Amino acid sequence: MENQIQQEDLFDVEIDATAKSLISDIATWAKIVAVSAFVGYAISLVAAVLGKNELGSGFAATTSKATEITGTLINVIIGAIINIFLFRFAVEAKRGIDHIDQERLESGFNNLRIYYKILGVFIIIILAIFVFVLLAVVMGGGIPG
Amino acid sequence: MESGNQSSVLSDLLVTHTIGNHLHDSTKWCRFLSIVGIVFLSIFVIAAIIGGPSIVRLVADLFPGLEDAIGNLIIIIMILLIAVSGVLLFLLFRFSILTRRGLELRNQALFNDGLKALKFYFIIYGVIGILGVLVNIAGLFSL
Repeated sequence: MENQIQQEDLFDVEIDATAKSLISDIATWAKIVAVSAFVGYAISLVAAVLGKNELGSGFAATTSKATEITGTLINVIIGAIINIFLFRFAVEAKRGIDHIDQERLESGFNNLRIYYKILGVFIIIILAIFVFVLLAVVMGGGIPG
Repeated sequence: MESGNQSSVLSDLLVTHTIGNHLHDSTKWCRFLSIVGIVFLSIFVIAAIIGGPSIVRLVADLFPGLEDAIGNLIIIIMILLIAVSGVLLFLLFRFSILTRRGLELRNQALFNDGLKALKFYFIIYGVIGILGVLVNIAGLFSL
């Protein structure tokens, strides 16, 4: 009975030597992607804070600088949240493969799932905004003025 | 003997239902992302074909004497951008289809081909990421 449950709990697909090597490579490159994203975000934050303001000085320049920093900060926060899951996938999957740890591997693939899910939801939100703006433009253009 | 084989399999890594379900969900979202990406890339290609010449002329006019060189450079960058995006989206789509089919049909070769597509996807993405960091660092020093 126990054997039967164990067998039912498995797909007939194994993580064989080829799959192990592929997952290990995927994890390595996913880590490179995540780390380069984090470095990129840090640089863009530094650039936003230290960058010259084309408007010079005064109230308009200060407001423009504050807007630029806020925009960059929002961008960095969203990007960092997404890439944390990719980084966690890379670390957990690699550790799972190296130490033959089933739980770590499961946790790794769960992080990959969350990463793609967040990206998907993010794209849906962007598409919704795009459609909303398009409708607003079309309806606005249709009103005689 | 059979029980010995079974225990050796159970002591190694397996695609359990948990991993299978996580991969199944991942492939679902990847398929969505790749299809949306392919649609937008197609729209971009059509827009580039229709409006490209006038954009190239506009930008080239900003650099008198270098019109031809700038025009060619813009065309090369656009073709490169479209080609790399196309390959990335194709690999993501391939991963989603092959891995899903591999799991559903319990076919090891399809499953591994799907993982191979994801590997090449992340390699290209990683190289772009490293180049992006280098460009960002260069930009930081020019501040």
